[in-house]
Amino acid sequence: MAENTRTRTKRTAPADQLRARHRKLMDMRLYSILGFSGLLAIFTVIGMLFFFRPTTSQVEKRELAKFPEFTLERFLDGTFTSELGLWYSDTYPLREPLVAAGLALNNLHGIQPSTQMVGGNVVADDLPVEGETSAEPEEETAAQQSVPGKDDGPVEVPTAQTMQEDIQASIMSGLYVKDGAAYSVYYFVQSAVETYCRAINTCADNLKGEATVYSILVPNNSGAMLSEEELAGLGGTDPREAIRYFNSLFDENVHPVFIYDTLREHNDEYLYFRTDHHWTQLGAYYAYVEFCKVKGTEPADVLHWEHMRFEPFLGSFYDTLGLWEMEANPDYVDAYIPSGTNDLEFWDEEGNHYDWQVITDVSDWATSSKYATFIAGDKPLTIINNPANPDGPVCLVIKESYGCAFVPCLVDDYSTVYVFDCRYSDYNIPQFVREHGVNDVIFINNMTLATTDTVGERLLWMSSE
Amino acid sequence: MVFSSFAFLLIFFPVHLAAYLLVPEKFKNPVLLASSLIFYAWGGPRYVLLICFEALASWFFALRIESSEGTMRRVWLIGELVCLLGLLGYFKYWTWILTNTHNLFGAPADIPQIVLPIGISFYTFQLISYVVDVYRGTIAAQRNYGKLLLYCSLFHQCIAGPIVRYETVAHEIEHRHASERDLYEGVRRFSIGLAKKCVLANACASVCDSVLPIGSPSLATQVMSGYWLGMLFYALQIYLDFSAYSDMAIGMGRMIGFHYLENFDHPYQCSSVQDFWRRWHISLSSFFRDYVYIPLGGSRCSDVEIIRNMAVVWFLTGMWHGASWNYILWGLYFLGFLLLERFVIKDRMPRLLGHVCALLVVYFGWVLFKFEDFGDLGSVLAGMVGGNGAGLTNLTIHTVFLQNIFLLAFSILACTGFGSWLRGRLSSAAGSNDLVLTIFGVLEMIMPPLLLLVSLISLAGASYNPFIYFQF
Repeated sequence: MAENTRTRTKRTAPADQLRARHRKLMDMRLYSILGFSGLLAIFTVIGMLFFFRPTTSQVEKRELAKFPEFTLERFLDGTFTSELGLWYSDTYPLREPLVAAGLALNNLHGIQPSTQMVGGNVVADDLPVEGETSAEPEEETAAQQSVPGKDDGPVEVPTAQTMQEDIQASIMSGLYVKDGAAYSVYYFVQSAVETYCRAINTCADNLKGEATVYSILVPNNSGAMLSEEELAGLGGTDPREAIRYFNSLFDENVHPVFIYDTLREHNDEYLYFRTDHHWTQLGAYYAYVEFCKVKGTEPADVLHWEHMRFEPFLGSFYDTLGLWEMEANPDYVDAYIPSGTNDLEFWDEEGNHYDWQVITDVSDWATSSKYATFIAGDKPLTIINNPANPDGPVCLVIKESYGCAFVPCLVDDYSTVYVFDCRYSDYNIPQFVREHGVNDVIFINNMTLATTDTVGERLLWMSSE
Repeated sequence: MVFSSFAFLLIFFPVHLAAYLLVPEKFKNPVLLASSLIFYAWGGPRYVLLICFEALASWFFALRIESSEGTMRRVWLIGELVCLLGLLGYFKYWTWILTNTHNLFGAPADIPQIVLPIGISFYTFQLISYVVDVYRGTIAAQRNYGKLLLYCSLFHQCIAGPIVRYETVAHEIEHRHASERDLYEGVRRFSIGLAKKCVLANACASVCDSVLPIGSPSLATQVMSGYWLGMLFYALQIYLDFSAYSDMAIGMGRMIGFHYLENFDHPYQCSSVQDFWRRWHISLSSFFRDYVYIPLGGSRCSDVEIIRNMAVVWFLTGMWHGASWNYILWGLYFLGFLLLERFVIKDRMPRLLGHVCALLVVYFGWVLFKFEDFGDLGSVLAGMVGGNGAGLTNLTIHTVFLQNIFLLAFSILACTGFGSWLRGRLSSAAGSNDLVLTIFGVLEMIMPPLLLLVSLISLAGASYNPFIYFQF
């Protein structure tokens, strides 16, 4: 009997153990289902917090999708529901930390070599002989006479959004990264360059005898900072020759300011940021000195003005690449306060008026926003009145963000400095110049941005009467 | 709506699942049907009418077939085929046919742009298989229209497969039960599919598109290694993307008691081209085998007839994938290699060599598949053999390779059966070893929520997210 019991015990024990093991495993699997469902429930509830939905993304520096407009037609063809889904995910309350975590996750995809090229397979147009354009002379004349908004009837003027996308794509299309610094490569596009030059020529023609028009094209950091050999190996267009070509297309009443050689002479100094696509105010200062030479005036002693330093600064290249080498060796922003005044006023895109500073203390701002210390950033209209020079001339600067670091250098030389950011401003330049007694019109743009179709088209629209 | 979207994961799916689990048994099918129609309507409510009509036509024809005898059964079957294939032909191929006649003869002058209803290729084939099976007498016709509509519109598989046969789910539509194990395996399979799509396939797609930008002039100027690397990522993307969708469909079905058949069996582990097609999109291959190839005579006929039968199948396979000549070329390309294997090589190739050759055939097949424009296709094929003079490699490709080397390795691993093998070994060992049981249990426990979290993180900032197979 005892033997039988023992035998039975021996036989049943493994079965019991197996059942227990199976139960243990199933319990853990049930915990897994609970974890999965709980996580889904938490994220679902967060998604229902409609009042916490963001409207802009700091990480991606863009406006997020807006709630779609409902119409029966848009509903039936699926447009409404598609945009609703996009709005829901784009404005999800936890999106910013999730996107940041996603970028960190992407960095686990592989190894970040210290020297790398991101993008770069861009087909640039061949650089023509100076002064030569793609159109035949007769066609060119006809094209030059055709001005958006004047002869063509209604035209589609590029919006700030399309220009931003265009510019973003251009700047990030070829990035050479070396030792924690990124360099954007320049690619020549014949049609865009012709449009840009046509815009400046149109403005100068319309203001002949009324104001002096200057053009400053700022090279990319690769053109100014890399050695000739490295630059040639990147496969882009020679920036020096490209700027010379730009300048060759300008009419005689446009005064080009050629800053390329000056910047290269000083390229052992801190002229451009390593983690951002902009230049420093030191780089802008050297451009200002060249501008004064062309204009025939003495430059202000900018580098001896009171100055502030903001650090750490991690700019657009860091946002795109997320390299730890950049994080370990961030940039800093030196900003020089004009001796005449540090006050300005600006209007935003909704027409709201603000009093602000030429150089703002951005010590407490995000590490990605330090460049915004200069003239409140990119605004449709900014005005700097200099009480220290009430009888001085008046200038209008038409720029994109590169011009922000340049404008403070001008403040002491003028009684009033007007600034348009060409992406956001709707003003007609000739009309504005006449109404405000402007003496100098200064176009200052980065050469890659000047090589985007949308920037040229927008400037042409603003310059035409 | 795609499974890998916030709207699906955080609104539709939880709401649907909660409603489904809370309602009494008799309302589960109506809830499932309502959810499926809402899901389908998300992409454009007007096409709900189309799927309802196709289901109605199939319901009607199947009942007529069942109640008829002799030649009338065939007449009703032809009616079904004309109706469904006519609609498929109109929505999917009419614009393409007119474009070709326009290019050849200049007529018609205006070509209508017909929007392709999402999933039409999948649910049309499902309904055809249902009616043909009723005709053959292998299944009974469904008398309840709602249940037939549920079969073809089930959101798990309606818009991107697998092509589920009616006989697979007939019983489960009427009576189904999901055990604890079913629920867990469903959740696990779904989370694996989700992560495959969001973490791996989307990342592979992003690399491929950055290296081989379709329609861009730079597509023709890439260096040789760029083409090979880009196409390698595309080969990984297309498998991970498509099998991920099947994983999610199978997983969601299993959560509520449906047991769909597998659609993939690690196709890149194939030993020949024929073996690849036994493992790739199994539901489509078996559809063409059972409803085209075998009715034509299959392999039990003369060599000439076999070649004809295979040509028909592979022409149709290519055409099913899209209204473009490159897909037809892709189908015929495989026909060529399958004929070569059948009549010339005849199992004489060593397994390893067969595996390498089959992978190369499949790899170049993806080049034909990816580029609809023959100009792009020519550029890529020329570039792959160095015909564009751009050189062997450059810093950009070197950077792309290093920046994605772990992604590449992990994606290759995900294409193999390593994960299933490891799970099987751990499961066996857990039966007798406490430590292994604990490790296995913890892995089983953390994997689904962890994969869900990683997927949500990847999805948050992903701009590239469409499923490739939506176009079919």
